[in-house]
Amino acid sequence: MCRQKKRLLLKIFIGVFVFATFNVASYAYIWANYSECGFEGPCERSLSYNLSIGDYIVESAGYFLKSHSDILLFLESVEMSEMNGIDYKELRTIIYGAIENMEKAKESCFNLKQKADATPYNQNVINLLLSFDYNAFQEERGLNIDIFKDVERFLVKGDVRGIYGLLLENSCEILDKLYAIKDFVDADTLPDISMLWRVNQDYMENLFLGQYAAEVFKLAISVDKNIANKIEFKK
Amino acid sequence: MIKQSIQIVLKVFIGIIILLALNHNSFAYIIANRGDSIFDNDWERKFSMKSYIIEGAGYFLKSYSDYLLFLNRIEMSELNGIDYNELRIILKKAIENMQNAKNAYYNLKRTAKATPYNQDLINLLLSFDYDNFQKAKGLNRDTFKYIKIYLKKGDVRGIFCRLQKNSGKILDKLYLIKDSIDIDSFPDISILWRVNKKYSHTILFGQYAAEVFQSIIFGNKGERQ
Repeated sequence: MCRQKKRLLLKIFIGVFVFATFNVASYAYIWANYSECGFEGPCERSLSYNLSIGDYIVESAGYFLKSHSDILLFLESVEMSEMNGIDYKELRTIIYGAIENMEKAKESCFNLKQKADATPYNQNVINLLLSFDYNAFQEERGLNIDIFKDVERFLVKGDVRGIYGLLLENSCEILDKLYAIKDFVDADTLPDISMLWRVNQDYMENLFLGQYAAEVFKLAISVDKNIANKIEFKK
Repeated sequence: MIKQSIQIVLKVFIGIIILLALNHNSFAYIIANRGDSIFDNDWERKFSMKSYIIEGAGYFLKSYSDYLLFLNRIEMSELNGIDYNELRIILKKAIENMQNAKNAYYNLKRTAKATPYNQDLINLLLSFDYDNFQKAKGLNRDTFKYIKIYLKKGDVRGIFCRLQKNSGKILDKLYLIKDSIDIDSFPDISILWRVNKKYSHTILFGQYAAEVFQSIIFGNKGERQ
């Protein structure tokens, strides 16, 4: 009897543990966060072993930010080479890191898009996006108009999958440029400075594309208490 | 007689060394590069300005790289959990590098203030076709318009001053984030967004200035010289 009780308690404990583990919410903060709420299910929690839309966003954002951090270190090394000389070995290490992280970001973006394509929208959230005042939001926050236009272009139609598609497309373009830079560094030459300028701009524009989407989602969702209650907003 | 000859040779040698040192080409590439070229032929000051531009850009880029790593950890905390000790270390580096960038830009601003402009190059800035340049290179309009405001008036010192001011503003916000992290509290996401915006705006601002300078000095080749 005592043994039976122990087993029962153990089962309950394991059950609670498993339930708690699967109920851990994973929300991205910086890049495209809260956009998972535009779909059915994932905003409330991921209840399966498979990664949810929210998980893929966190993963892709994490790798993208890391790659962006790497490329800034690369630029710093190029900049400082005027004083300290060029260390191609160091430059190679940095650019390989940037490429590796961007490859992973691209893969996560691809999985994210696939998952989103196979998941129906949450019509309540889409309606919030359709009625959102994009112009006022951009002006009030002083967001970069050219980049915000891209975000608005998709979200005003409730096309969240389109944002993911664009993030993927941009990641591919950045990756192509990184490989072009790698070719130069592998041959112990510095690439044309304009190549570095353009890739830097691409990183920043892609980062803001994700960040502005996150900002819109956060505000749009916050007006609906039923949806907002399901998310633990970080202020 | 021999002593006199040796003295002359020595003087010529030292003269060559000094000339070579002052003519040493050290150009910043990424932020505000060639900005020093817009000033008159005071080689000593120009050399200092180049060094400050490189130093400022180097520290600024490093600080932004640190900050993006910080954002990476914040983002990944949703999957891996949050490690405040690691966040503190990364943020400390971002602050240190930004403080150094701000100091370098302060020195740059002071040196530029004491150095006269090269009027020929200023004239090139005054007559430069900014709108065409922005379109042809696909530069971000919102950021480029600020560069245009300064450079169409030939106000290169204003660019340096803006770089120093922005560095100061970023530094203030980094300290705000530090206050949260120091008490193991998650920082306000909207502050993280705003700091990110200021960093990238400032880098693009400096980069676009560099692109314009490069264009007026070397033509529209955009090549690394």
